[in-house]
Amino acid sequence: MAEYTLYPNANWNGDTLFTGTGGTDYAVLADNTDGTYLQRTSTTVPASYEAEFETTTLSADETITSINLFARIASLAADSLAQFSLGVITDRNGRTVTYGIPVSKQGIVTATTYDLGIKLTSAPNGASWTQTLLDNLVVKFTDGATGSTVTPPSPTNRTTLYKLYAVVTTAPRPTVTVTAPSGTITDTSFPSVTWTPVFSDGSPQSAYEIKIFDSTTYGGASFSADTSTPTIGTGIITSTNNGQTLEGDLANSTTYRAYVRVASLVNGINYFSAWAYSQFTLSIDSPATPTVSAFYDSTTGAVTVTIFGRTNALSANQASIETNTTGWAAVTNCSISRSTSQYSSGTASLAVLSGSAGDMTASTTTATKFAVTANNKFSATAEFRAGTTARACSVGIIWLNTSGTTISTVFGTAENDSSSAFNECNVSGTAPATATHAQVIVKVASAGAGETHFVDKIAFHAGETPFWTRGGFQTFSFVVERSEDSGATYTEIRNSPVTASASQIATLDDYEVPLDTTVTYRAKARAEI
Amino acid sequence: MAVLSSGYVSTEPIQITNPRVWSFTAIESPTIKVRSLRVQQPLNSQIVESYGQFKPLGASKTIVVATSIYGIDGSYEFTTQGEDEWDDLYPVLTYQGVLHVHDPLGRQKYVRFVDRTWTEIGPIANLIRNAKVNYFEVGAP
Repeated sequence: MAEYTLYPNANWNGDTLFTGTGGTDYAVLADNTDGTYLQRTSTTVPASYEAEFETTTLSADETITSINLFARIASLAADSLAQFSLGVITDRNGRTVTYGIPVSKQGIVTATTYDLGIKLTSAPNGASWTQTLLDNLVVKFTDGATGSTVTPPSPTNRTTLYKLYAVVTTAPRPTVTVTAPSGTITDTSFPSVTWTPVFSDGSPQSAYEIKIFDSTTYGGASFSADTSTPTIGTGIITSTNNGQTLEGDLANSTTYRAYVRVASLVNGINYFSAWAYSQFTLSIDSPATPTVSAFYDSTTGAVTVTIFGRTNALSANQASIETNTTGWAAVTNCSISRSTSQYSSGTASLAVLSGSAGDMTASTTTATKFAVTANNKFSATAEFRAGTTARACSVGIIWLNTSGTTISTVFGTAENDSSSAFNECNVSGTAPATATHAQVIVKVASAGAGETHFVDKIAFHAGETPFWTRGGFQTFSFVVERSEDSGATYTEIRNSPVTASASQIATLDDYEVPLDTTVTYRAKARAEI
Repeated sequence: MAVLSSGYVSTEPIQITNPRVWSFTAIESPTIKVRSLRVQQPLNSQIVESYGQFKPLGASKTIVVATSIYGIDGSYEFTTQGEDEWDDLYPVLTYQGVLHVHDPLGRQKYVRFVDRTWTEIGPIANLIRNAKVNYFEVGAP
């Protein structure tokens, strides 16, 4: 909190009705001696004298909380009356002033300095105090004595005004440091924003606001945290919290800045800090982009939107064998182990060693079988690398019924692996009508005895376009949005986000689609890890 | 547990040709719906305004002070023939919630049925029912 004392420095009005003894009318009020003073000389009462104040330039980091008025006066008669009020010039050329309610001092007083208790928390015109209003601050002193002794040369009931000054009290602007997120965010697309506010006058935080801008926006020439459109904005939140997890998710491989401002209350109004920010980049192993299709069902009168999640159903370890071979089992003519001699993702792969010459196969275990939906497409992918000799390799899907019995197995096109690089193999198939689960199986055809082949980046998911993502995701849902303006803006449709089935499939019926209008749907997957 | 999101993927643009039928769907319970039913004309509609009227003493004109103006309320008259059509309509007719309406012009709005009356006429095996409902237009649930 800071205080500034301002003295009159110019006559505004009524100076001919008063006489300054020892100096000009305004100057006698701006010193500390009772040897100079202002008295009414007009025979007409009430008579008013108005003076402008000197000003002070406030810094950008403070705001006026109040302006008070002090006066040193004396009077000899019981019927003396002095009134004081603060005002602001609202039209200098039109000489228009808006005054506040006057404060009166009446009766006999010896020279005393009064705190007139005006303490205006807003300007007399009702506006919040600003530098401009402070620059146009004026005071009115009215000698309102009545009675028979008003006539000069020595009316006994006039007030002697020795000194007059305003005290401007300001509050410091809060400051804030955004502490998170920063650097590279690898574990969530809903990062938490935290900050450390500083209120040097000890006020509590009354509110905060967060805006997230992507690098394209904040790097723009006309960027303003106040006016530019954020990727996510919280609006002004009335809270003492120093952190919030964002409710909207952010795009991967994108750099953002989290802008935060905090406020404390000044005269019941939020006084905000300047915006501060923390920069961060999202780099996450995100769920796979789903596939989405939409068609109009004239029977239901709705657009049915179907989303296939393509995120790997395998555990993270099954997908890349970074820890051990848990979740995998040797099936035919082989033993399996984790190997760090070759890898396509991470630092390890599944080494499949043939026991004798012939085909060898390994599969995910039945204990880790993956849920499927009958009559829907599913895909698997795996990368193979030969230890020495290239062989025909393929990846397949074992369809299981509700009792865990194999219904059938489908393999993708076999491709020769290579000892110099990993080679991707894929398979897609429709789950049989009685299928409830599936396993992934990898096969090396016609291997020689004691031959090793490495398998890495293994995935299984819904849909017919094989795609590898890290495994270990769970609790899938899909956000589904509709655009009616060629993709310029999207709005979530009813019941979005929709929870996916165990096999990462979901459908939503959009009954509220506008007719005779071109619409586009889009979807994204969400998952926990 | 951290929540992660994928990128977006979009469908091709699609345009739904207006089937030019009436459609009523309980949007929050969409198994309750009826399409292509017969809605009789004329359609009765009204817009209600919240207002007060004052006739000050000595004034020559009435003063109207209004606040809100509400949606298009009105009534529908449905005609069904036989039990199948009636069975389709009945759950919608008696639904105590917000119904989404597509009309043959492709317009949409949300309504709440509040009064239902109907008459039955014809042979018992092929009753013709004329049902009238009053409704208020409401906001999307």
